[in-house]
Amino acid sequence: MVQRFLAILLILAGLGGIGFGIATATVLRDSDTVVATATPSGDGTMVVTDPGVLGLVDDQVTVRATVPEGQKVTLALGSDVDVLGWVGSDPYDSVTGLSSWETLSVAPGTPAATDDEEAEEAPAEKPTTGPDPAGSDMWISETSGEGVASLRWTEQPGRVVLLAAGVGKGAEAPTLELTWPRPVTTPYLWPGVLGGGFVLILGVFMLLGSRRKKGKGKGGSTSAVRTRQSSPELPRRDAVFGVDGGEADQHPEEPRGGFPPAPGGAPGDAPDGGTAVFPPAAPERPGRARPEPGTPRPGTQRPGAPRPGRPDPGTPEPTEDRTQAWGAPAPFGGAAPIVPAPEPAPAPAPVAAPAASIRGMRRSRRSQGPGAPAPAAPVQSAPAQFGGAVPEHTQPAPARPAAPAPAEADTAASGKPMTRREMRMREQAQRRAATGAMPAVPAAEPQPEPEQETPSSRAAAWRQTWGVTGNDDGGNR
Amino acid sequence: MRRTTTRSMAVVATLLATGLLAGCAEELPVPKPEAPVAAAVVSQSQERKILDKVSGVVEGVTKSSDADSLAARLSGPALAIRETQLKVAAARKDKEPLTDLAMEMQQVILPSDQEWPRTSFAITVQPKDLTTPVLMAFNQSSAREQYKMWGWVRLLPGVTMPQFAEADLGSAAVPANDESLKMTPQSAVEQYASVLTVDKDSKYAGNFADDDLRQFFRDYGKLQVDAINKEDCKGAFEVAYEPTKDPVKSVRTADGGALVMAAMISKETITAKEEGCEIGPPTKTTQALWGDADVTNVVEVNYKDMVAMYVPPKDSEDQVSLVGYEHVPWSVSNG
Repeated sequence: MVQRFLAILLILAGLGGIGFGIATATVLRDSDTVVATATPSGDGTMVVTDPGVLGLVDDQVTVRATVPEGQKVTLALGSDVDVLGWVGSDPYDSVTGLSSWETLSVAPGTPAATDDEEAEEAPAEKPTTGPDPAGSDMWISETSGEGVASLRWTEQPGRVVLLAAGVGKGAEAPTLELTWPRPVTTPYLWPGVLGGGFVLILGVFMLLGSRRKKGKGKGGSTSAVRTRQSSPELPRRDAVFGVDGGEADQHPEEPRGGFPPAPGGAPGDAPDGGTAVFPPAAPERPGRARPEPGTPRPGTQRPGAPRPGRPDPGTPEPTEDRTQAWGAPAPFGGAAPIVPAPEPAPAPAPVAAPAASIRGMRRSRRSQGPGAPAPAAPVQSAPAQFGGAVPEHTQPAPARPAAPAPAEADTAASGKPMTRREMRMREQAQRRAATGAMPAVPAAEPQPEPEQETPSSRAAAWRQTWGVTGNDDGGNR
Repeated sequence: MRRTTTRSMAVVATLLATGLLAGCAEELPVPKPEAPVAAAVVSQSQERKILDKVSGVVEGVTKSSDADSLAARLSGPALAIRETQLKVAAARKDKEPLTDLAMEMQQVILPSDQEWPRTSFAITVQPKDLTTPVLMAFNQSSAREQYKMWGWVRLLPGVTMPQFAEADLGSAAVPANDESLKMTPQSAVEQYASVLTVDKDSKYAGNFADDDLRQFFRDYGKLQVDAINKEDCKGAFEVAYEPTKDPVKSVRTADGGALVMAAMISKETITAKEEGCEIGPPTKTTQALWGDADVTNVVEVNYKDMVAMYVPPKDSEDQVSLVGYEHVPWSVSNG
């Protein structure tokens, strides 16, 4: 019970965290600008900012000074020495920084060290006339206005300060308003959402846990779920093998027709039923499997690829049929003999399978070398098919039988991209070969591509390279 | 079960606490001013603006001959000399007496002192009339004053100017009584006045290198005397220099010496001692200034002068040397 309560608490906290995270990026988001106002203390007619105040929040600052209606105000920017020198012994207000995000702190300025007499005289003079700093050679920038003046300034190296002066008879110190743009960050958005999500999930699991405990007595649903999950996996493997086997036995076209649709549906539906089998199967098959997962794979890729070749060399060899499951070996043609190895491998140990298949591939390639002339023809046809298939790697197989001719045009177009891809694949494969990780996958992918694109010579060369990498992988393993 | 519950409670509490703490507000920024650095108090771009303003006034007055407007951007000796030049130019009805003050600078020497008065110097490129470059001084007497041209000299032909600190760093002003120099700027000016007056006979002559100005007076005096002696009138020529009360402006050079600029006045007297001889004004300018005064055996010409000297540091073996001068006649009399 307590656990359930905690779980709910966590879920609420998680939701709250997510909500807070989002809120900080939306409704609670800070303003894009900081506007701070300095109200003069009433002593003197001038307001001076301390060095560094102008660049307090951002390098860009907009200064706005207002004085009562009908009076003149002058804003000037200069080095602190110049400004304070200009102010001299007159009383002024000093803006020392922010006292809050909306207000500037103001303090009476320290009059420049001058003769005592002057300092004493100054206060007496102050009410009469506000001196006008406008026009001095020392200012970096200045502006004057009736009632209001504003100035933009981008902070530069140096100790630049602002002098704002009410000018003329009965002048008062202006009210200063500094506006900076502020880069608004939303630091709590992702921590909030992710942390909240985590807490939420934690809560959900806790809740489920508590239910399970309760359910145990009743024969709860959770157990059922588990069984469901596990059960589909097993059948999947079976199904795969079955499929492969079936393909092998059947004519190439038939299996495609039958199987492709099923797998096609499978990836999406995977979780539900037998179709789901493919995704798991695919990883197991590593090399060849990859293309396969696409969909048509059982019939299409490997089997498909080999088939085109097979008609000539392939047919005589029975092994090919066995290999079909692996697809990859088959395409390489007569060489398939080693196929038997791959077959067993896939079923028992997925990992082992790729290696086996690779070996098979090598051999087949080597054998192809001599037999080149014969395979060449099929290869060419193959590219055409692939060309058509290009959008989906897996599909090539179905395409071949259907339309070699139309595909040709496509191949031409597709030729260039394919080569690049080849290169990439090869690089990947080599890299992987070096690391020894995931060897099978790269091998499988490149294979179909070379065939698709290339005329025989290219394909052959390419395969050779591939064969080498494949060998290495196999050897490592 | 208890343990797990307690543990989960702890976890939840920690999570919530973290969340709350994370919500704390951003801190207010505090001004972080740059540390003050030693640099010129006038930037080069500011100096350029100042020069433009001053030269605008000078050019405007040159065209309009309205000398009253000069005061806005000229002060001290520069104002006096320019007014004189304008007067002379008006009398001569040409602009030749007017020194070319076009302010295209080849070098600026900016002040580094934060106090006022501040003085900057600048050296022009060679003027169009192929006279020598002009060394100008600008003075800001107080913070609420503008920079005004305070003086100028035409540099001597072939003179080598001392090195100054980088313009951006600024050069320090040297007080008139600075003791780090071979002689204080003030005494340099006084001694040089003596040297100009009596030349080699001055007891200070050894402190000063010979220069074009002294040579000019020798040549000019000889010319006048010779002209008078041709008539057997026993000509005599003398010149007398005297510093004005204007302050001396000095700026530190890179080697620790100083460039000293000062205003003086001078009077040259040409006399025909033989009785019965009469002489008139010797030059075109003095003739223009002469007016319709009677001719006597004496001609007195009053000049307004500016001199600029390099005063080496105390331990140097160099002599004080003149780098430029301006010598403008402003009145002539028959004694």
